[in-house]
Amino acid sequence: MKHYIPIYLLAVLLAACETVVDVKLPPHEAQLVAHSLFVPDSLWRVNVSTTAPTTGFQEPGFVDDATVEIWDGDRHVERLTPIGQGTYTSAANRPAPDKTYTLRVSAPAMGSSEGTSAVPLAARVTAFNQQNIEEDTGGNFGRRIMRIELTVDDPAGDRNYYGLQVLQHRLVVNSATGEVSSLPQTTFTFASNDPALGEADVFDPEKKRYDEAIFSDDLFDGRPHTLDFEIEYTVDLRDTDVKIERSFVVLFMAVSADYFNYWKTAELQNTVGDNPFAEPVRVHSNMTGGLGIFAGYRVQAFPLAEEGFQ
Amino acid sequence: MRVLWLLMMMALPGVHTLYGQDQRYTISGFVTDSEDGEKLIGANLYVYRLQAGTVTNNYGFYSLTLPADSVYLRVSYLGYQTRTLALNLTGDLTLDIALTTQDVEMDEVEVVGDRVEDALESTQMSVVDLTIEQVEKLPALLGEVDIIKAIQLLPGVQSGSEGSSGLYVRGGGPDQNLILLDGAPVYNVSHVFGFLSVFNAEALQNVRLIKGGFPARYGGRLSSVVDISMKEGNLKTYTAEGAVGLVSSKITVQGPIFRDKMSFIVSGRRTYIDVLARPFVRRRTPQGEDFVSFFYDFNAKLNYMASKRSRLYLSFYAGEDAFGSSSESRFRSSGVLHRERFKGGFDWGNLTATLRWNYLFSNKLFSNTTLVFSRYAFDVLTRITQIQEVNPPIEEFEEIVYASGIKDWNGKIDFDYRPSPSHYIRFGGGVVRHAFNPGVGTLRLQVAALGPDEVKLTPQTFPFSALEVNLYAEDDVRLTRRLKTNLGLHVSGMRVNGTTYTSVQPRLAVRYLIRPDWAVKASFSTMQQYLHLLTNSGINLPTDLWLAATDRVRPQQAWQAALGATHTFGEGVYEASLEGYYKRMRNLIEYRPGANFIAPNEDWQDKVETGNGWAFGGEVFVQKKRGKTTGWLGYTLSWSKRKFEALNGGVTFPYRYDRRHDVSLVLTHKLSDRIDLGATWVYGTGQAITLATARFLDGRSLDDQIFSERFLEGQIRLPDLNDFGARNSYRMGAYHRLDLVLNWHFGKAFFSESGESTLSLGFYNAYNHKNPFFIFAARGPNGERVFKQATLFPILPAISYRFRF
Repeated sequence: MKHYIPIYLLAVLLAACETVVDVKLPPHEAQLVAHSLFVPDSLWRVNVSTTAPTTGFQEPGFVDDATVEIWDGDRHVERLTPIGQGTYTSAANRPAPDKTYTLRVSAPAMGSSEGTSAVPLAARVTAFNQQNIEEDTGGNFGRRIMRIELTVDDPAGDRNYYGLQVLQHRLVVNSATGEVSSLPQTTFTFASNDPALGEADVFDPEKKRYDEAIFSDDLFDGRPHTLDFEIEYTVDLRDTDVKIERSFVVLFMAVSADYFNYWKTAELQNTVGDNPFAEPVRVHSNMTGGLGIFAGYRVQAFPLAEEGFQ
Repeated sequence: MRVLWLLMMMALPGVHTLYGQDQRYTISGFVTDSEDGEKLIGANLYVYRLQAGTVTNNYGFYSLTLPADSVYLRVSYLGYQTRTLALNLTGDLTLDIALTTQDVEMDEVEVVGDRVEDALESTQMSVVDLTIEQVEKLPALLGEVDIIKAIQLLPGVQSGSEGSSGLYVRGGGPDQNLILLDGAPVYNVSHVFGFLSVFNAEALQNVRLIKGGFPARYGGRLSSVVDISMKEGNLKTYTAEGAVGLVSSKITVQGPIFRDKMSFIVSGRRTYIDVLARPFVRRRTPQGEDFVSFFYDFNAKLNYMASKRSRLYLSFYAGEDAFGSSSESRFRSSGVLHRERFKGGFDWGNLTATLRWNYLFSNKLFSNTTLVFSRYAFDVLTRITQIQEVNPPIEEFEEIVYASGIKDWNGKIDFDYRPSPSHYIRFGGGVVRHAFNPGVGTLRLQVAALGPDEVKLTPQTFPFSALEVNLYAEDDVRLTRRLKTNLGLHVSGMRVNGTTYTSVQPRLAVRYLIRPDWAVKASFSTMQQYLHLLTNSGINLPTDLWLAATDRVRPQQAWQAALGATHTFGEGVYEASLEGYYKRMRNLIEYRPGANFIAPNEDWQDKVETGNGWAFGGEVFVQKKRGKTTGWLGYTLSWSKRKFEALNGGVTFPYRYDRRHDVSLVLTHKLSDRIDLGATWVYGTGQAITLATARFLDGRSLDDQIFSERFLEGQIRLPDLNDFGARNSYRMGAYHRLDLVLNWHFGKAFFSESGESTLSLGFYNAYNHKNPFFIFAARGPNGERVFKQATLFPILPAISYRFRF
């Protein structure tokens, strides 16, 4: 339905439109864009770029001559070092979990911008259970399902925000040669029908698929909540020399309100795309004087066990 | 309570005696058209010497109580010869007055009536009456005479986007207009995505627009009332009229069933675009695509004069639009012939039925009892059928149906009581049961291996109903010869899903006559609206979704104050009015950012934000009402703003239809008895829209270690996001357009020995201005990003032929 109706309407309207003419926009004034999603166990890292006009060929450019500083209240923490591609890093400093930081960015002829954020309290994960199911599909391939229950005890009062992601790591093992090679780590799609993660997919209401879910505690504020989700993959049952060994890690995140709002609005803007029948989405920013996001989060990792699989 | 007390005291006959004479008598009756017996709504009756007068109500009834004396009663109505009757009042008098239409040969005689006196006499401000005769002389899109398009030419009223049938009155939204057809609300007035309205002018008699200073008898909407009356049917003779145009044809037949006792009128209109275009579409598409695109209207009315005191009306309207296509493709797989059929489209329409009973309790007390049914329904269907031609054939299909609509059952009673020339009391009440079907989507499947299945796509959406009641009382009180006021109170309530809302809405209008040709008016009114409309703000689509207020989305509320002056000059040929207004609105709804208005799986309450709005401005309206050249100039200077905590960072933003300047110039000129010309020119400040102002990188992937490493190595680039800046901060180009029409009147219809006929040749957008319709992102000839503005209508010629016999 979502797909058919706009096509109809657009077809009608465009067919009816007699001519199109170019629209002249006011001159573009470039703005500073700073991004930093920081986590306590990583060094500071900030990316600085500029906006580009919505028309023409110009792409957003990186700013490598900016002054990028981290402040802890009135205390100067560090001026970050550029490493190319508009990226600035810290030599040794990492965000502390109990402090509020300010990012200040300035660049020649670009003005300055700043944003403030803190790392949220760690999520209280009180239970993590996993059930492995192996299904023989009768052919050369089998299906493995990992069902996970993660219980988080949500503090009452303030609105809290969380994130859920599954990472996959693959090793290619050649038993004949003994060679082992590693493939890049990637996110792995998981499925859930938990309404806390998002609205159900009308065309597949039993389970909605996610690469990453960022969600609030609106449906379980002040209560323990158990998230049910599962991952599913196939295994090669044939007797071959080369096998792929997989391992998975569940990342459960506590994210700040700015992180949540930026992620949600950016995701929504991508979802809406060029749909002329949807209201435009303005992406959230907490960088005063510019665009982008400076927001903290915290991660807990839960490796998935292989027990139960042959 | 003080207001109520004052109202009650003033309503008592005898509390206020204007003339100080003891013996008074009442003249009452109906004012009608002498040729067909049609009741004339708003005809003016006036006694100059006493400076006392009244107007006929919506049923042509009047009642005027005067001192026992000899008086000259002047009876006038726009387009009719004024009659002056000498009366010697020695007792109550029932007097039905028939007026004759303005005759061509009578041009030199100053007898053509108008409603100048009414404009000065009435306390009502912010009101405009249009007759169908006026509208028929104006240029029209594709030659289709359209009452809604004519209303859009009035100051304070905007059309929204190009070709739209939407009404945006004094900064309000399209849902805030109560559009009544013979007392029945019409919930969607659009044909062909809004390019035409559902009102077939041939079946209509009179239109009244009220955009402020609402009398207490009206309620339920914040911004305007458009009160449209259908013709009643000729009581004296059979007549037929019709028109043949580029888009549609129509025919209207009326006449007496029993002469002077009972009459009927039936009118129908249908497009034939689909019939004409179908062969070409089939020829040009490889899959033999077929399409449907039509609308029709059917109006009918019965009018029965049961007695001198009692009269019955039964009116009916049905209209429907259908738009869709179907196709079939064939292919062979494993030697089996497969056929795949696609069918999809929209279907929407209104149906209204009104039964009214007028009863005259006395020459001072008139009643009208009304029963109304109104329905608006909208359906979308897409169906894909796959047939395998085996024995027996296997048929599988997937069908998605999305249906929404609203039904009203309404009962009401209204009383007009005129105890003296100093009082015109109206009171009454009504009950409405609304039944909402707020967009239910259903997926139906027929799979050979699994059998039929049905899934509701909107699991949390169910039809529901609401009960709305209202009571009102108002009195038009003449306090002195110069000062007149209308005091009123409208009380309403609605119960929906266990929640009850109530509202007490005081209304006040004052008129002060500075000189016989100058009146100053002021008004204050509060309104409450229990219905919300989810509509796409850009174009008139049939997906409009009417919903009741809920515990989450409360009723809309507004108050409006207006101050103005009315002046007639040139011996009543010209009438000018100047009005300023200020309107505050609460609990308005707007779509949330990203909300897809046709996503069927989302609860509508999750798609909207509520907030407040205000609008203010000034309107100038100068009319020339008589002579060879008639018309008007309207100018509106206005501001309309919105403030929603959850939108635009809580900062005030302009309403999409915030239009600083709005000009309309309407002229008709009679070149000769056979030829007249019509021209309209409109200008409006461009729409306020939200447009991407810059692009920037999406930094969400930067905290991903693997992505970040590859990014630093320059292997991948970050995706883009758009920066939209402030809401509605971009202005589209100004809108302006000139329409022309030449009407050539023949002596008789070409297939008849009698009657009259008119050939009209018109041009819409005569100087071919590329008016903005919408703006979209595209790629230029070299692949660069560009924004383009789509223009809907170039210069469009139109020809139509109207006949009457």
